[in-house]
Amino acid sequence: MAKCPCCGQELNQNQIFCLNCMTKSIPQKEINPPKSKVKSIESNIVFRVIIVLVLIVAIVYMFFATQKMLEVVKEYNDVSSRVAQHQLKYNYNFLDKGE
Amino acid sequence: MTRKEFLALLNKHFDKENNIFVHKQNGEKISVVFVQKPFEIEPFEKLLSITNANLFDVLDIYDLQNEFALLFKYTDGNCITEIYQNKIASVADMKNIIVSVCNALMVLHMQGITYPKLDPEDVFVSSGGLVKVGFSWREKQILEMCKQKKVPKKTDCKQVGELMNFTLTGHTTSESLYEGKKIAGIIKKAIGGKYESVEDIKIAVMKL
Repeated sequence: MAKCPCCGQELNQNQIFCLNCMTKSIPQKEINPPKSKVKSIESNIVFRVIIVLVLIVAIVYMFFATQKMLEVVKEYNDVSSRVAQHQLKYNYNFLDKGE
Repeated sequence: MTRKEFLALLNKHFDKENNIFVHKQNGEKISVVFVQKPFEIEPFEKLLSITNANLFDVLDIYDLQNEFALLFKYTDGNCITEIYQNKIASVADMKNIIVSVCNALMVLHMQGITYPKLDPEDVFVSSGGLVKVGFSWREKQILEMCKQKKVPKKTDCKQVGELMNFTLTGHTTSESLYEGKKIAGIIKKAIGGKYESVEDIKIAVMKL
């Protein structure tokens, strides 16, 4: 059973006026309309679409990043092979002079 | 709950003085009106959540076996008919009454509620000079929910015009029309349904 917010007296069903302390508890009106299930589904879909878009962007970025990495590795390999050739040449010259 | 049980509940907290119930501890007054079913209770239910200085305060509604018990906050005072029985109102008094009545009617209209017939007997002036629109309970159906979604704008304009004339002359417009040029113009316009809403009458009266 509902109770008076002011004096705690038990109120009859659906009563808003307390006969004991003369308090009228006015039911508060909801300013914003109640959230419907349809709305929550809509917002869920939007959320999912955003996640999918972020994933696509991440995958594309990763793809380009890997491409660039491969190029760097390839360039590194080229450089290291050239260094090795120079090293060999140097060693050869050194041995040839008989020092 | 039966009427007997309801009255027993009321008697526990209130003393009865004539037809008014006076609270045993703080002396505040309420009036209780019993109306037989079937009764259009919807407008009163809507008014439970509304408080306006110029409008009667519905405190609660008890659904009894064959009737409803409506609890109103009681204000000391007399109705316009009693006050202006042997005298006429000054223009300043008329302005105060009409502006207050328009305020109350605007609140009712916003809720989709209309007064089928607003009479001078329904307008009360308290001892402190506060004007309140209430009921004289002559008829069974006093308030109506508007059948359309919105209250037609011109609703109650004619009655406000009649009320204006009554406070200044003590008579209806068909008996005697007030002679003052500017005020008579507003009264005629209101009775002729030329105002768009009670708000327009209020603005015109405030400019006097």
